[in-house]
Amino acid sequence: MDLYITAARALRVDITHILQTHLHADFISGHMDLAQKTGARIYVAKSAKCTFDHVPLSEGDTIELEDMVLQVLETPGHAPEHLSYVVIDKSCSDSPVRVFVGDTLFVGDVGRPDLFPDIAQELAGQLYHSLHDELLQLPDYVEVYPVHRAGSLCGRAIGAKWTNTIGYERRFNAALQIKDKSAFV
Amino acid sequence: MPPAPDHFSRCSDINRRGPARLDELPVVEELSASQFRERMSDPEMVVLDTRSYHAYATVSTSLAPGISISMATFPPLPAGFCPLTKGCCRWRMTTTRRWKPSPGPAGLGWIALWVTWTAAWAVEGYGTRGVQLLSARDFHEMIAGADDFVLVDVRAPQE
Repeated sequence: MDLYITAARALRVDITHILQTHLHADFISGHMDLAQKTGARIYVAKSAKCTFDHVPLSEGDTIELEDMVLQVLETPGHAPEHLSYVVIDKSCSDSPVRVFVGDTLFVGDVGRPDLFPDIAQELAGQLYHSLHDELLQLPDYVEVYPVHRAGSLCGRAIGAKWTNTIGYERRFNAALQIKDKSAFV
Repeated sequence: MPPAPDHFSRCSDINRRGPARLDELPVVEELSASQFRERMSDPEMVVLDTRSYHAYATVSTSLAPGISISMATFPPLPAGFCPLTKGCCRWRMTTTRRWKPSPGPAGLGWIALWVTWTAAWAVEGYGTRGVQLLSARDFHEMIAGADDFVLVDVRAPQE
């Protein structure tokens, strides 16, 4: 958490929003500490049914930050309550330029849907739709910002890079080459 | 893919409820080596060592021609331990004596830091143990050597 505060100070910006993509299963999040230290509000999926003070988000909601607009996409699959955030930089255009995809899409991989074994099949089907009907609908030039890179159990063979583009993933990500939903699941 | 580790089944719900803030958690209590040893003598005390696997390594090294040392990196003691019946508390053992690395050959600072790690326990005269580390070269010489050598791989299937 101190990393975020230190980085914000270095950039001379305030942390005003804490956006959660999902309820991480692989670690305890520091959102409560960060909210207390910064006064920022916590934004999380309405479907997560969080019991702490937060702003609930659903598909189509938007968050405005100066010149930027963040559009909320519901992208379940890796986790039932998963969100992605599409960034529009209005100082440039009204087109999306970046997307924070959490654990739905990685560089060279996609999120594992089997971390909740009881609903793994259902989540795998949702992941297919989240990838093909949500994220891959974005333009090729949109930059992708996942949570993890190589070494995380949240994927199978995640690449070493932190970021990529929708276009590169569309063309080279092996999981995205499986067009048939049943084969994907 | 390896199955998800055990904690995966709990973290989501903890995050849903909002985990306890760090300033709400019990403060880590520092213990001297003798205090630590005394706590360990309680039969109800269970020791949970939270250090990484590599912290158990023992490395033999040569400081100069004719002078070699072997340093155990752990006494049979951990960085934290937890009483089963008294809630969850954590302690951290502190060193009772510290050596500052003095200017010298490259690597001496690193050695001094390592000595500090086990200093408190060792200086009190308590026993130490370690897991011998082999270099890749030593390992190759062992398996390629003339002596009979049986390699037993004890890693879990997921590794």
